[in-house]
Amino acid sequence: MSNQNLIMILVIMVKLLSAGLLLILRKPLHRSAKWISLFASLSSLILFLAAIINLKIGGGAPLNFDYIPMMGIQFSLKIDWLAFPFLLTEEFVTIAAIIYAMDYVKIDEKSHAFYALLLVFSAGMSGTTLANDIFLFYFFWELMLIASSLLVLNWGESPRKGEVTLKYFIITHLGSLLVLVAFIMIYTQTGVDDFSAIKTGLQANADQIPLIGSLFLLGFGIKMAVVPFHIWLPDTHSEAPMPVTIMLAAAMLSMGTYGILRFPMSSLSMQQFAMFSLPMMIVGVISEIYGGIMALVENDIKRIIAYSSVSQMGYILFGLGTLTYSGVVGATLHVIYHAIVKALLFCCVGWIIKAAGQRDIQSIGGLHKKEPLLTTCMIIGGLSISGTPALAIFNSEWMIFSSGFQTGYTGLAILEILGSIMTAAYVLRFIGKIFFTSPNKAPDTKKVPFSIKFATVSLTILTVIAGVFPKPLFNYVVNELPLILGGQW
Amino acid sequence: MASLVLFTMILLPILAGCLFIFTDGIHEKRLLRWLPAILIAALILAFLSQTTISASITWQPTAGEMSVSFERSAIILCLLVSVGFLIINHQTRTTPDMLTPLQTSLVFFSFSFAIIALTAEHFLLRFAALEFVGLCVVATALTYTLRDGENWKNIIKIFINFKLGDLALLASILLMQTSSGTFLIGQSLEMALLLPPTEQIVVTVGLLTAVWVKLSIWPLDKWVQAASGFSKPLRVWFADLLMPILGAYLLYRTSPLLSINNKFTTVIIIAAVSAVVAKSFNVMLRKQVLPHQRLKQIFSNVCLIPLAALGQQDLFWSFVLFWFIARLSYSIYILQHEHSPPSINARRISFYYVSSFLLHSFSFLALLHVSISNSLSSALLVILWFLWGLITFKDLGQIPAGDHLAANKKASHWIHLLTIIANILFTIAIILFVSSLIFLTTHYVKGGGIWILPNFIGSRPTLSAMLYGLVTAALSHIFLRRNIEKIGKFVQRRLPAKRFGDPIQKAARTIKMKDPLDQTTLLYSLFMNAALFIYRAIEKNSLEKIISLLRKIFSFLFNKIEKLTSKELWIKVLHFVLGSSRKIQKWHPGYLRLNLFFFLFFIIILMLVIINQNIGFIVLPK
Repeated sequence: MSNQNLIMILVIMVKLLSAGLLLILRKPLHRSAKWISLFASLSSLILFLAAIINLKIGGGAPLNFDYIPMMGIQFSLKIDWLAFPFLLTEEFVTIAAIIYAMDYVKIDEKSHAFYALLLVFSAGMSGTTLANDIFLFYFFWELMLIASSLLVLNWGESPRKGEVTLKYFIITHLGSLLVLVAFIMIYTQTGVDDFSAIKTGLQANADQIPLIGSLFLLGFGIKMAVVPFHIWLPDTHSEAPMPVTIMLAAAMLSMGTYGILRFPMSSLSMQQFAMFSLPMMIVGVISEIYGGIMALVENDIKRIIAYSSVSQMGYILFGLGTLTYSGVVGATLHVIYHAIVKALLFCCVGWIIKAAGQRDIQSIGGLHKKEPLLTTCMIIGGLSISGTPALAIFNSEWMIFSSGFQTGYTGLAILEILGSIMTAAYVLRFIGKIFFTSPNKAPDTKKVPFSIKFATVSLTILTVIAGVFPKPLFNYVVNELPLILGGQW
Repeated sequence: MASLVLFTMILLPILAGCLFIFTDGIHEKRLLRWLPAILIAALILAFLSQTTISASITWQPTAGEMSVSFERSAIILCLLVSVGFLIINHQTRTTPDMLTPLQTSLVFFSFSFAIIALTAEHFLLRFAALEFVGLCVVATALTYTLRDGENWKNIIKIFINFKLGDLALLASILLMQTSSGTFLIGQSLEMALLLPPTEQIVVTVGLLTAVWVKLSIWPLDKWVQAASGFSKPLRVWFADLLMPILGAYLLYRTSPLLSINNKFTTVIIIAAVSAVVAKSFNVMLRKQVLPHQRLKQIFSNVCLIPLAALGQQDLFWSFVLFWFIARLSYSIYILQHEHSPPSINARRISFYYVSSFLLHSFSFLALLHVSISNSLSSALLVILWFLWGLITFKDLGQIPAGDHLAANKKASHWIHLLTIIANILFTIAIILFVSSLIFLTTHYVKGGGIWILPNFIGSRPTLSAMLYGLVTAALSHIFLRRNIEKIGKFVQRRLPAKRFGDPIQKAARTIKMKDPLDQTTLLYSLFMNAALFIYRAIEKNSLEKIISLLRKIFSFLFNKIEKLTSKELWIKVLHFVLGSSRKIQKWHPGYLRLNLFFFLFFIIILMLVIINQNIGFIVLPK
């Protein structure tokens, strides 16, 4: 087993083993659970960074074990440039969420389970991005869903948590089932579950491309929460405890993008995928504008940021749909930048809730005097998500906009650009209401724990750094292009 | 030397701004005195340099190399902006309480970004710089919100207004980049000339939207109104100097595009004229506008558009110089006598009136050039000349006489008039001087001197155009002078009274009075209502609504349809049939036959149902 393969296993196993340890030993680890999970996620990140060094010198062969040999099912892991941005996002977001959770989640008899499930959730995402066969992919895909559902069900913030979990589980599971149907269709053609076989299977049965492609896009579209499949997202995000919301919004949504890039876009040529281009662009624009409008009228701060995710996923889908160099690179970069900024915004929201004890923007006001640091972080986050230059999101946003014009659908591209004014509008309303208007509504703020402040400030700094120095990340992300749409760039 | 100039022009103001913030303005006076002088010295050095000073960075590989280049034409504009910066700094230094250190630093930052915007050779860099200048205005508004609490709506207006302009600009940039494959401004604009007509129109509309915002032309002038609460130096800096010059420079680069399609150009000019007509009525209805929104300023901005549509870039550039010099001189007046114009003194030339006449002269000369070129339809020209006459003569009529003139009422009228004429003559002398200066500058910068004054001597077209313009203007003055108030009231009566708030007679408090043309609140409220309707009708608990609908459908199916096929129903029906046949038999024995038929019919139906339900399920043994 090569070093690369060992690293890949460890990236997942270190989290799963730590989670197992927490669940088995239980009581003695109540207090140290947060440190164990932080250590596990940091170790995983370090291992992942070590894997990049190998990847830069050409990577290695995938790790293969026969699992059910008579059915051609194997256990296969592989790291490539396509997995890189998503794994990077997921690793960083997990660390941010765990740091945030340290003082957010009360230490009680269930806290070990919270951290264990958080690690399983993260391992599910790592496994999904590292999997090299459909069986393993689907296993981790469902693991991610089960862990997150349990987290919402047990640590949800209102009595509605049961209903919300059910809604979240059923809808996203429906998406998973659509993906599963596509997998089974391919598997019955090829008899092998390796990712490379998907390409062969699809090429051999070109007449099934429209159906299988649609199933993939619908399934992953549900995970991305693009309109009209977004109905699970606002409820889940507003119900979940903040660290879970951070992971859901900043990392898990991007798994849908990964799925689209990994399966239909990697297996089909540009000409074959072209039939999905326009629908993707249209849904992207609708999501962007619709999410923006809903964020503008919503009063619950968590739901505002949740709708903002629907809007931002619209950008990503639009970028992917253009099938251009700028569009695909821009969309992938947008996944990373969105993760950073969304994590920052949710951290700020958590800070507001902790300090003011309120979630309704109509009942909070004049917070800037009491929380100047939070105000600064929130303004930077808000400016960033509205596409202000030199802050994270602008770098990917203009590439996505630019790709729209390259397709020839000028009207759609213009709509996409002008739709982004909605982002500015809801950000201004949100920030204005909470921080700068109605000083008489300024609540008596409570002390906010250090870990929340630390996570928020770190993400703010990261937002600025990622915006000012986009080159290194860009140079890594473009490496994925040869793997997509037959590498016709 | 390149590094020195770049450091001085771009980094030094930013560093000075940071110093202001962190030291809370301790070195304020020294900095305010020396910094503009250093900046102007650096620009002169760059102007005299044999080679063009430039620098470039690679920010994001797809965007290519981003460069700033201190070419002579850009240096001249930077120099004018620096003079404006010097004036503002002087004002801040003499009245130190007017600005907080944070506000002063924002002026410094905006200066740096404006210099980047004027010297950028890369569209994306220019876009970023313009966006930063806009953010400086927003941040300035924020400083007032932090102090007063309830000014957030102004920030929304400013931010959204600028964002709209910037996004339109970005759309144009990206469309040009798609065809040219580069973000270099020169190449992109050259390629834009070769685009298909529809795309050319989209590019032009995008660029002009940005110009419209920056030149604060109605209806994209809401940011200026929102910025009316700023202190005098900030207002003058942002609304009178910085944003207009950035808009004019953008127009200068766009001008070749405007001259390609005559029909489209006419539409643009109609839009500009409509804007100024709407604004004029608005201003006259409200008697007075914000200090930095006087009609002569707005009109001079609008005059730039038909001038740009001539497609003569060098001529337009020289006019931009003249326009900005006039604006600079007028700004000095605004800083001194903002709300009440000084009364005219027969023994002195008033700087205020000279600067004011300079603005009118600019508009006059611009319209004259447009008239001579025959590029505009005569109907539009008449409207423009009419407006010029109205604004100029109205301005002249409002010049108050000094005390010594008022004392001797008999002679006062004529002395007043002669003094105005003397001031106009002095203005003409200044115009001659400025135009000579511009001639020399264009000769040095563009390689060929350009006179902004047309050839009056022996040139029939020029003379006839001037005569035509002056006659139209005079007629407009004669006809509209007395009637404008009536027209205003007539329009007011037909507009919904609610929008005005205060009655028009109380328009002295004009700044607080609602602007009848400002329909942003109405639009916002309409939009929010529509959004709320979608939210309540579709979005909120959408899945729950679907489930409840499905539940209703299922319960209907269960209660109505399912019961039809259930065993109990058939038994009930059988009992009913048997019971009714017994009753029928009791009535008359002869009904027995009918009864048997009824029973047989029921059995057949029952059999059919059973057979129908079992079709496909019976597997016969082979």
